[in-house]
Amino acid sequence: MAKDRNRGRGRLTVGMAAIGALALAFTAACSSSKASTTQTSANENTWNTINTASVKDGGTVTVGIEKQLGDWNPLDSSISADQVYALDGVYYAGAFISDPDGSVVLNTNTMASATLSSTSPETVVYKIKPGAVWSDGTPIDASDFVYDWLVNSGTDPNMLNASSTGYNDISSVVGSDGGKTVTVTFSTAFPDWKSLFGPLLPAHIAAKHGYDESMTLAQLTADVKAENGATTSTGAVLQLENSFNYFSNTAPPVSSGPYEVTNAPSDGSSVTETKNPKWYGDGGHLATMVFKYIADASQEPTALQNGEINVMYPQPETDLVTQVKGMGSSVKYQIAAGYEWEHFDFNLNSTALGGKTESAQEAADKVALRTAMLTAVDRKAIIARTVGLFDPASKPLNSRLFIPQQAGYTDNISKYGLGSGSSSSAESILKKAGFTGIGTALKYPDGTAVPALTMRYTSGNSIRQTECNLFASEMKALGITVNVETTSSLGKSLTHAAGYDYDVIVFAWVDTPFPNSGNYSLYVTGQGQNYGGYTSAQVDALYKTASSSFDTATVNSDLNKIDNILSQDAITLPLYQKDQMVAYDSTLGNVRINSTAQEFTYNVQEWGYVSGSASPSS
Amino acid sequence: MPSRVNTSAGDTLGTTAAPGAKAAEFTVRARSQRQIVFRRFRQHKAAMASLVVFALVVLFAFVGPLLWSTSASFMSNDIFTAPDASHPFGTDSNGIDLLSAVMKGTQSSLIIAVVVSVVSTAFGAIYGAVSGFYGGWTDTIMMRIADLFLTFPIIAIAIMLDNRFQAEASSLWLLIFVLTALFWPSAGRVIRAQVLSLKEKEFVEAARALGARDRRIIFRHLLPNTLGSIIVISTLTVAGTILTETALSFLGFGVQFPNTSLGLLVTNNQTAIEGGHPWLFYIPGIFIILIALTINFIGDGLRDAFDPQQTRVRA
Amino acid sequence: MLVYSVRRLIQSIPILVASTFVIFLMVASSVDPMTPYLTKKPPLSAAQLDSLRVKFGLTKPLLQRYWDWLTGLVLHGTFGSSTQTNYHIGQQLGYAMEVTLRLVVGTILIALILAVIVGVVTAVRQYSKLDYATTTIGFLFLSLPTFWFAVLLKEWAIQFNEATGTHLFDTLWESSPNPPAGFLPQLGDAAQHMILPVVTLALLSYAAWSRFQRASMLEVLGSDYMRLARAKGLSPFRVMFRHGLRNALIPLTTQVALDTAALLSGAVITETIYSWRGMGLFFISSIQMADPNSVMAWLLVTAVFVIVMNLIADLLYAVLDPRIRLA
Repeated sequence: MAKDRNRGRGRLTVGMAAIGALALAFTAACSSSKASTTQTSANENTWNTINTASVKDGGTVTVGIEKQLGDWNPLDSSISADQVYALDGVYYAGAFISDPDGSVVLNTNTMASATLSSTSPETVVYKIKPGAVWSDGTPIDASDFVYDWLVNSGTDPNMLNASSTGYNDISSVVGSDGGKTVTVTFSTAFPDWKSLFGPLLPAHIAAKHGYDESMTLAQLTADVKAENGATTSTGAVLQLENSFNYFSNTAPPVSSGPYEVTNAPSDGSSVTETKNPKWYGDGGHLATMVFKYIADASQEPTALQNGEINVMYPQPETDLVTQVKGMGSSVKYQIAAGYEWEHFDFNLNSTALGGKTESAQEAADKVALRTAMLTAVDRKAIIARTVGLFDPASKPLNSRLFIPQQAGYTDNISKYGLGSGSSSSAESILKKAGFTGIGTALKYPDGTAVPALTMRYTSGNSIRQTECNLFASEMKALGITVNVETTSSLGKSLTHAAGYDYDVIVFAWVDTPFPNSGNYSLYVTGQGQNYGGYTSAQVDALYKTASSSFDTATVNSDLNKIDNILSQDAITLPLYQKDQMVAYDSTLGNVRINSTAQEFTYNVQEWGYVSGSASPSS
Repeated sequence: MPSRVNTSAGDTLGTTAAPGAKAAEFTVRARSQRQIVFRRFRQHKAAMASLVVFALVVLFAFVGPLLWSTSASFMSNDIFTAPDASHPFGTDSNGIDLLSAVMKGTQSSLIIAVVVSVVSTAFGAIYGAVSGFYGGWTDTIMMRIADLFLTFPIIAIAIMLDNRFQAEASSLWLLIFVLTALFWPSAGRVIRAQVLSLKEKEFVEAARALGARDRRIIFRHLLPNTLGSIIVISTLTVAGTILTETALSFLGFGVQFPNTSLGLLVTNNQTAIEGGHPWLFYIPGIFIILIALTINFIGDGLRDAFDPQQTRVRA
Repeated sequence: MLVYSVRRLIQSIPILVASTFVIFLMVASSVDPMTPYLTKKPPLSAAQLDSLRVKFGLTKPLLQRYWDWLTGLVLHGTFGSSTQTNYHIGQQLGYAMEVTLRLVVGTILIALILAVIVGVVTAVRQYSKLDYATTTIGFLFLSLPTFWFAVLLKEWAIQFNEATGTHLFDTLWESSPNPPAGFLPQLGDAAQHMILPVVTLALLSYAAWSRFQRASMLEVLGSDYMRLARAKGLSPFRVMFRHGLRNALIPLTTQVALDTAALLSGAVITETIYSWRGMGLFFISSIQMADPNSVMAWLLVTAVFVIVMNLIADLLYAVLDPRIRLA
């Protein structure tokens, strides 16, 4: 037995040794140091030109994407951003593109001109370049515009197109000059007309899959009306849907961009694009582009470091940025604040904070409560613990309708003290409004207690967890209890599904270069994305005038008036612009962030390996 | 078996009589089963050491927070500080002290694991015993129902239930419920198999002859005889639960804030090595391993202690 | 035995049907395909949302939906339509299965060899230093959280790649996005991609199996027929392998068959970390894309795996161990 005991000890010692060995391996793993990675940083003047380089032809670039490819139709509502940027090079022959600085410019590869020839009725004349053709040789012409308009017109409720905004104001699209001139006439003024006719779908391919090229809007409207609200369409309407769905289900059969799809495995894991031999525009340097799905986004930097991908476009986070910074000179990266912005949003349907009617929402005590709460939020402290950790340039966003890159940007937040973190002014607002129990257990002026509020954030999002925790502790200082909980479905929370409802929520909006039409549905009474149930006759009226004016200055001033009202009503607080990041092989030229919906592949035809560099593979 | 007699003698030689016992030269002192098991367990050094370490971890989790006053939710201004005197385990991006976070995480991981293990093993054992005892169609039906639970991977079901109920607070108890529901069938199977052979033994015959009712036979005669297996299974379930919970956390379906667990801590910091603050990844991970490893050793020791046959065989 | 197998399979049909029903209810209540469409910006119109609900079959009563699904499966062999665009469930599942199979075969092969060697050696040299060392290492692997271990392995692999300037380890995917031309280079590419995930899974799986093997080997070594074989004067080698190992492999075989079912349903975590689009990732992405029929299809296939592998385990047991007779 004594022998056994020795053995027992041996077992333990060996065990400890094994653990020790593992621990040693850990320390070995942590001690690596290298030259830091080059950061390219843009200011207002260099958004569009950063990382400009003269590049050589040839080479392959592999880009990591975070979603499986599934829907190939850029106009479909179920399209994901990953899909859009993966296919930018394949089908983006639209009238306009958004540059990284947010300016909307003519797509000069395809278009000769696009002019607003009259504002009453609004008429736009598009001229397509004579040489612009689809990769099968068919010219890009007016029929493609007509098809885009019909599927987006919003006439057919069973058509699952992403947006009908603007298209539903068009009364006719007429081709002339052999189809190379297109005249679009509007029945209702739509000042953001440059947002229309983005990616164009090939009408001649649609015609092979059901679409009748002689179809008119009047005919479509009549057919839909005849269906009498049926949830499944028939006849020509169904055929139009079929042609639209064909594009959703099929990898682009033809391309109007610099590349064409040569391989798209049915499992949706990747798409390979090679140079379009019929490309009529400038550039097109790379021979091949591959977009490949990576299941776990946090594995992307490792893959970049290991040379498995050449470009990644992840949501930046502290660890990820640190990791990229440590990769050395073989990798470059760019971080910039973009069109997406984080914000705290009140649910005004909640009687604790407002009510369903405008008078309930405007009640003095509720306004005071909301103002005090938003005043107590210290946005700088939030930034310091979240995005500020990896982007020292992050600062509070002071507008709900513009981002600083845009001309209309004016500070409509901090002049009201919102987001300042001043608990003393928050307390005095409450005191003035007659609240009691400040700092202990807050009571409304009428003596009833302010109930505990539920705040939600998307589960697993540690940045939002921090934001909510800070909010809760700041509210505690005012005497308000905020219970922070997660939601597994932001959509269910925002639409107030039972069990998912909230009083305060944190999420992000994505702005567009079109602040007018882009934000309409967020604040106007009864609109689909006015999730908090806000209602204000004043805001509704201002939006009405703004959305029919062609004068940018007037529009911007109206929008800023709206923003001021939103601040006075204290219904939401913008925190900061979310950062975007792109990291790439340092030998790649012309890769840069474009935070508009155009995405960073807006200029794939310019991408290439820097002249004189040894490209990894060609 | 001769070998068994030999080793028993070895036992007597190797250990002196219990303190306070008179030297009984000519009488053989009967030792209860419990004493024998306990004695055997004590001889399993790795298991004993593991027991000590495990006890320390438990103390750390439940007594530690009383001694270390920093709150696990306090966001200090020390962001990403490496382990030092004021923060022995360092801090994270929120300035939260990792030592208190790990204490809190260990606490809830242990609670989840122990509750799941006790409830699932108890239920599984009774279920298996009843099934095995009655046999025939009862057995077939009961075992097919257990199969139904075994048919689907634990992680899948947990993810789906979690997806369903996550918004409704107290996800901790939901998680416990899910894990329990999915761990019991394996306990049930093992106990059933043992009962199948036990029920043919003479003592069951005897009990029946004496007029004992079924319930009494199951609870007084059959289950106590499977106690060894029950204890071993419940021990190993603790390790299994901790690892399953970690896996679920990684997939985003485990414990949710404001609750915490070791799995959640590691998951939140899965990129910390490359991010330059490796302690956030290693420390909670090492606690998971520590718990699972010690539990596995304890389970091994218990198995040896309850089942002398395997360990005492000489090759 | 054929009769037995058929009876077992017939017995399992009601279980399968019952479990699909339970799972269908669970899926219907937990996976809502409308979720991704609720937060689109610009928003979908109410009419579009209604039309989507019809398209996804959400307007029908629950029981009818189940019945449709079941009849579709039984009569037409289809898994129903996916809510994801351009997604054929059967095809995707087939692809996922192939990927997982690659992972599982590699894993089982390595883990089994390791387990048998370690199990036999530790049993024969019971209580030796070697036994204690391997036991401890085995327990350590048993105690490692999969993703924690996988993250570390990846970390080490990259450091190895960097230190040696080679590209021995691939950290992502089951093959390169642009695999080299030719059969052999392609095979090599696939093999290279297999290294890390297979090592991860094999190391985590072998430990339990080697404990199993050790226990059964010990039991066999102490049995009377081994004593007899030795007494007969057979060579130690012959005793060990002809009589010992052969019998000691029986329990392990059945255990491996049972565990294979679990592996086949997808090593969710390993597949996620290494971005292997196998069964595990299929399931996770079906949940993330809120696609009920894909989830159902996956669960069904998984259930069939478990039932079949259970049967195989029992049959193997009967074939290998002459004392057991199936009735």
